Amino acid sequence: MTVETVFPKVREIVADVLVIEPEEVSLNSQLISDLGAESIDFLDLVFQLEKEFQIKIPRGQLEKDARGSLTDEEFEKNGIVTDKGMVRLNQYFAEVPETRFKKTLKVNEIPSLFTVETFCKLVNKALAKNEAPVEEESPA
Amino acid sequence: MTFLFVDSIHDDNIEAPVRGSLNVSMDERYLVEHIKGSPVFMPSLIGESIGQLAAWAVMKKCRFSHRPVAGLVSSVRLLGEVRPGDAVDILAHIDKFEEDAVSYHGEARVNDELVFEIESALGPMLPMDEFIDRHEVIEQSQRIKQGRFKRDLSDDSRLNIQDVSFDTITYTQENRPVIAQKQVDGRAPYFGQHFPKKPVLPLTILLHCKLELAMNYVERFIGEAYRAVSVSKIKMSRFVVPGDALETRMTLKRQSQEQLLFLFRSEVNQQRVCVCEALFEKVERNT
Repeated sequence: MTVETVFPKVREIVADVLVIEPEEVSLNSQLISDLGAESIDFLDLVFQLEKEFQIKIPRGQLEKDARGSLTDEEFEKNGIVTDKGMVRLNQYFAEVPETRFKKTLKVNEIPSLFTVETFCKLVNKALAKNEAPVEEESPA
Repeated sequence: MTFLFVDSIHDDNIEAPVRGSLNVSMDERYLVEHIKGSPVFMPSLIGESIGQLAAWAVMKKCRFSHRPVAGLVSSVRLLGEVRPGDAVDILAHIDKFEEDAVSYHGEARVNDELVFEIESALGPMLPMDEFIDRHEVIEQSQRIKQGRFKRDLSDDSRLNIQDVSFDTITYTQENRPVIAQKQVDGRAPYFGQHFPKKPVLPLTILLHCKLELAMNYVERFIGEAYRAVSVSKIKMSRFVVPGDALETRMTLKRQSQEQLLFLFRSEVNQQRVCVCEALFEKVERNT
């Protein structure tokens, strides 16, 4: 599955959740600043995506994916993303224009970076996890 | 005035159906006029009772550290009336309970007849102390569980019609959006318990206002008897608090011979606070 494969359905769900026309939703639309999403919409969106794609999206998965392998101390200080954290966010949210990254970004402002593509990637990751073979324990 | 609509809890284990009951007495203050003229218990509050029952069970599970608040409801079906004197059996199934949200579905019956159904609801879990003192809610829960709870039905805080309706309604013409406004008044009796530390307009009161608005439109422009049968895609984005100027836009989205579908969007300071759709069906003349 690629971003392009899941985008049509994700777009439909985003539009439904935000009560807007699908035509208003593009891959690089930022959910909060471009589409007017509120925090309840993110809860709704995750719920609808889980239902539609039969996947499980653990709470905080996006933030966790965005942090990658950085420790808490490497990623943030006093609630503000560190320089190292910003580099990591730039890499993860490659689809977001550089201009949208504030110089001083608070951790609780990270959702402001989320785009529709972000959720397409999240869906793909969860789908891949569903399809991954379960490791069997070797007999003792 | 209390805003608690679970009189007894029979089973609050979240792994099994949560069971409770509500007795609607002759002194019940949340009565509204039915299309046939006799008073009925406010229909949206039947949904409130199911939501509160689910809430008691999950609050107990997390030791009353957090409470669920209204968030999303896929749909509710209004199947029958609850009248003064009725004993309502309430059931809630907790589908998923995580630290930040709870999802559930439920139903209410009178004499084994289904009167209300919640297909699926999802509510964020928020810190209890933001809304009510934890010890106060624990004590309430114990009283309900032990059958010692009595809803305050005294006369000293009567419900006024303006507490459960919009203040002004602006019609342009038939088939055009209707704009309704409400200045949210902190003296409305439901604010006392909803909630002591953070008064917020109950979603179910707002839903009732919207259903009444639709009925008003039907009476004005259609002239035949319709009744609300379901409300869907309910989403509460933000709290509405005393002092807010609430503006609701209602659009007749679809009309057929037997059904009307209304779309509602409520805003405060041009920011979305609540959306939903309500389906009405024509009432047969002989019912």
